[in-house]
Formats: sequence, C-alpha cells, structure tokens
Amino acid sequence: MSSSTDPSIPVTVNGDGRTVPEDYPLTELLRDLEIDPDNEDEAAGVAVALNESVVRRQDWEDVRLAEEDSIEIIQAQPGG
Amino acid sequence: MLNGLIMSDVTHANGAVANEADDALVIGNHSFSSRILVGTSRYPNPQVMLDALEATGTELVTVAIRRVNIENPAPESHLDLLRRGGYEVLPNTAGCYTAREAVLTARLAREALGTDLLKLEVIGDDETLMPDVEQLLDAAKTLVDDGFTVLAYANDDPITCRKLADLGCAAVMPLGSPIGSGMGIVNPYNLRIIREMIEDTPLIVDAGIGTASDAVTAMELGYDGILVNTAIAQAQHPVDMGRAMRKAVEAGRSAHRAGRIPRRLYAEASSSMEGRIGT
Repeated sequence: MSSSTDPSIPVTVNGDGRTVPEDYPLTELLRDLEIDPDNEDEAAGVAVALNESVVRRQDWEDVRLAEEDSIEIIQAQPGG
Repeated sequence: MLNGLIMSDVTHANGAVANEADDALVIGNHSFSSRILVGTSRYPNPQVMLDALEATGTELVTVAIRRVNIENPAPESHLDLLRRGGYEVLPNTAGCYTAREAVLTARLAREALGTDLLKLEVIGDDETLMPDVEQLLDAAKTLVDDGFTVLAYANDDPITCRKLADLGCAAVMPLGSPIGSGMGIVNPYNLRIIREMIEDTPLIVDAGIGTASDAVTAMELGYDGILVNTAIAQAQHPVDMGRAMRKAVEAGRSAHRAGRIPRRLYAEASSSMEGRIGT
C-alpha cells in the first residue's frame, strides 16, 4: 500500500510508540497486529478508539492515521 | 377435613412453584432466572472456569476490557469461550481511576461486545480497591444519559447507593467487604438500611463474598442477587464451590420470601405446655 520512501509519523498504539507511514489506514495497522478487519470472527470482540473516541467498526476503513494519534485496541479478557 | 388439608397443601405447593418460576431478576430490559452473577478471572484453567460457571447456574458473567496484547495474542478468545457456553457477558470498567477512563472503557466495551450492560467500577486506590465516589457518580450520570444499563459497584454507604439509584442506574451493587478479600458481609446493618432506602432498583452484593453462608446472608437481607468471583475461582474445588453458591443463593432467596421469625431474647417453647406430665 505504501512505499518505503513515504515519510513516517509517530503514533501511539496501546500505550507504545511506533512509526507508520503518513496517512496509514487504520485497517492496515490492524492487519500489522494480526487482526483481520475483514474477518468478522476475528474482529468480533475487538474495539478501537482513536484519540479517546470510539471508532465504529463500519468506519474503520475510512480512518487514516495522523501524527501523534493515539490508538487503543481492546478486547474482553478474564475479569470480575 | 383430611381431604381439605391435602387439597390445601397441594394448592400451596403449586402456588410456591409458580412463584419460584416467576421470580426473575430484572435489570433494565434484561431478565435472568439466575440470581448469581459470576466473574471469569483467577480460575486454575479455562475448563475449570467453564465447569464452575455451569455449576453456579449463572447466565451473566463479567469480563474486563483490556488492551489487545500486541506482542503475544491470546490463543483463544475469552469471549468465544464464554459465548460458546451460552453466557451473556457483563463488561466491567475494572482498573479505571477516573470517570473519563471509565466512560471510554464503557464505550469501547459496548462497541466490542454489542451490549448495553455495564458493571461500572471506578476505584480510588489499588490497596483497598474502594470506589472513588465522586468519580463514580460522575461516570454513572454520563453513562446512564448515554443509554447504558449501568450496574454500579459502590461502597456500602446508603447515601451513595441512593444517589446512584436516583441517577438511573439499573442496579446498585454495594460491596460486602473489599474486592477479593473473602471477608464476607462486614456491615449487614448498612446493607439493610440500603435495602430499606432503595425499594425499586435491584440491589446486588458485589465483592467480599467468601463462602456460601455470605451468599445466604446477602439474599436473606433482601438483596436481589450476588456477584462473586474469587470465592469460587480460588476455592480448593471451584466447581464444588460454584454449586454451593447456587444452593446458597436459592436458599437465601427462599428464606427471604418466606419471611423469617422475629428474634427474641428469651426462649419460647415449641411444644405446648398443655397436658404435660407432672405438676
């Protein structure tokens, strides 16, 4: 999708810094993290927030990442 | 006369069965036949968890909302495991210290799990895990306004509990004692006051239940249910403890509905004194 000559931008994913190409699609980031956004079974139970706002699943494909974006990707885990 | 007695007994028995069947726990728009909510953490392994959940008869189980582990993804989704067992999930906001964190976690939970149910928990510190009342009330207001069915974990403080009910929480869940402590119900008098003050909102004892007798006490106090995790998960035999909790909740509920006798300081003979031998 993006060539290695694209400028990189810093973002935060689940609290950790990483760099991604400018205008990187959220769906590509999810694929990098081994979450297939097109696989309903795999994506079920996962939710994403961008800069403290929830991104509805149907809107994932429209999101492009910008510099200093903070992304949270969560799922259900054992809890009381 | 004999027939009359028998008929009367049969009618009574049928009536009792009908009442039991109608005795659903209703939280918002959700209805449950079981009155025990169970946590899904700290079991020896997933199979023991599933077996213990089944033993409790629960229909509603809690989950935490956590960041996906990017480095080391879980081999099987916890959610898949629970949904395969037929359980409805109740996401919590455990670990949130502020209303802002709790509201974001709640909204993520709703998106991830497709449920409006939420166990709202906003804690003040990690030693006591006691609720931060100011942040809790703030988050409860926002989430109720946002359409969530909020089950609010609270201190055993009548005023806070009443405020949560007045804000529109679907259930209020005062603690019996600190989370995971197994200390049981340390202030039954407060829990009784809370029950007397809040008649129209379901009340659930959350946190501190250590063994079956604590569950009985909660139900005998007129509470609508209990939420329990560690007492089952960390018992030497979690499945057996799950079964014990189920029986305890049923026994306590029945006793509450049956209506206990008043306590008396002095004895009152069960056997009539009339016709006794001697003077």
